[in-house]
Amino acid sequence: MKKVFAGVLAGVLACSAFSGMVMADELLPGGGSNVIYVITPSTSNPYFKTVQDQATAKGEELGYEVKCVSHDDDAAKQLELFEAAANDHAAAIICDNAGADASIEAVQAAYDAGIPTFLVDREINQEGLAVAQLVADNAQGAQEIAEAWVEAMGFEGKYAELLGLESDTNCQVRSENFHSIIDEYPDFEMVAQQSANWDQTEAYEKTESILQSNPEITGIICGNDTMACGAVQACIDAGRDDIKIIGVDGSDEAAAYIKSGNMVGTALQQIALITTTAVEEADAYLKGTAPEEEKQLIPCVAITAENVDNLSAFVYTEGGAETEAE
Amino acid sequence: MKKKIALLLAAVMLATGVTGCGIVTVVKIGQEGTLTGETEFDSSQQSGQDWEQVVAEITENAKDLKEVEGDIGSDAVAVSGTAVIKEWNHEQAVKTYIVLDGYENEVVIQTGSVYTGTAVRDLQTLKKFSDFKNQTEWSEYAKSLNKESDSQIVQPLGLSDDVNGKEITFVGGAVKKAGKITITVVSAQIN
Repeated sequence: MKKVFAGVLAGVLACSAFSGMVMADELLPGGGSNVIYVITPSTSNPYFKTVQDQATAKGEELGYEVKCVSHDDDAAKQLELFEAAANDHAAAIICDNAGADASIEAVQAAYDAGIPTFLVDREINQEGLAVAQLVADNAQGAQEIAEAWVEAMGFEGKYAELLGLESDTNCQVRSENFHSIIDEYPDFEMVAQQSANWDQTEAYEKTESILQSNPEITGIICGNDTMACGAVQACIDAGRDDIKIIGVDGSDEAAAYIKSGNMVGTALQQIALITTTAVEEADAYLKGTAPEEEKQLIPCVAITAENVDNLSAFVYTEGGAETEAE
Repeated sequence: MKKKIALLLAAVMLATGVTGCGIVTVVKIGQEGTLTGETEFDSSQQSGQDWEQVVAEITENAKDLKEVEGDIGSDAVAVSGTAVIKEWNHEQAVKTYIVLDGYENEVVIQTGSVYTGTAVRDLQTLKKFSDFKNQTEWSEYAKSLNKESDSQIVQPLGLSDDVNGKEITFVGGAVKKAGKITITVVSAQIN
């Protein structure tokens, strides 16, 4: 009896120790093909199209075949795409994911299949599954553009906020960090806060209704440029060219509004840089070198009228705009 | 033998049951971390603990602002210097700053109450992003270090209009944006 118990105990201990060994310092081999999968939200948003375009350009430059697909922010569809990539023996996956918690299952599936995943733009709420999580420093970016907005507002005024998809980590981080600056000033008052779910049309409609119910506002802060551009259009149509608007992303459409004076600024997420870095890290990983850190922050750049000429296609170049990297 | 095992098993089951009913560990509200190991993030506690080392590191790496001002961009640079105070600007009560004389660029030292930027955090190597749960905590750490600058360095200066024209010796983190260099100090003394 004692012998049996001791045997079971030894087995359990050995199992625990063995599990620990498997998890540590082992590179995933990839699926065996030369294909990199790029999985993003819908490319109807130019931001995500940039992810696919940059990943394709860099991947092909490094000698890979690159396949791009969209999960449309649907976690179930994302899981299917990860499984399809595994069935296609993908060497690696570059993914702009469909939610911090909802995406864990998909990344786990790739991990279990031995395929390394490199997350760009959005984090997931678990470490140790993705090889890298390269994200824009949304906190820093939101704070910096909020500082510019506070000054443009003359340090006071009533304003509204358009939130993104509330389940998205970036929505919370940006909003929290807008407020970490604005709320320090006693003469600001937020009179409306609504979600427009990252969507331009919804942002237009919400702004239209906010302007009717709160005509005294002089500013609108937006969680992304898509919503900011919707808000700008609604303000133009309502004859309100006095409203100070900011967004986050650094899109060309926002840049055009900054140049025309309809927007104060945006926080550029250097998504082109983030994406090419992810592909380079995937290439290095497949050749045996893992990145030093899983979580990597890429700083945002606050874009205002003073430096907007340096921005083009999500690429910021000190000293003048250049064409997007190929 | 079988009887003994059965009795032992029953005793174990009873003990387990009793534990579930009454013998439990009571943890006071707010002290759950002592049991779960997960404690609420407190950025000010961390910045307070780290402040002395952060000051030492930035002071050790600081270069004369006059020599490096042309190289400063959006990345933080550790700087030091002695300069005449052109003006302590407090037009906006929450965003005050000292304007320094004698530099090629416009150079200001921020003096609160609102502090912007992450220069101090970005110049220290004691902690890195991956030591924190998420971007918000990392950002809160930066803000708390700025608050240390305010409470430990700027407030003791006792700023008033009398400082205009006096000399200040400083060490801090500098960044340049829109042609203006902004310094967050880790030490400062008005001579």
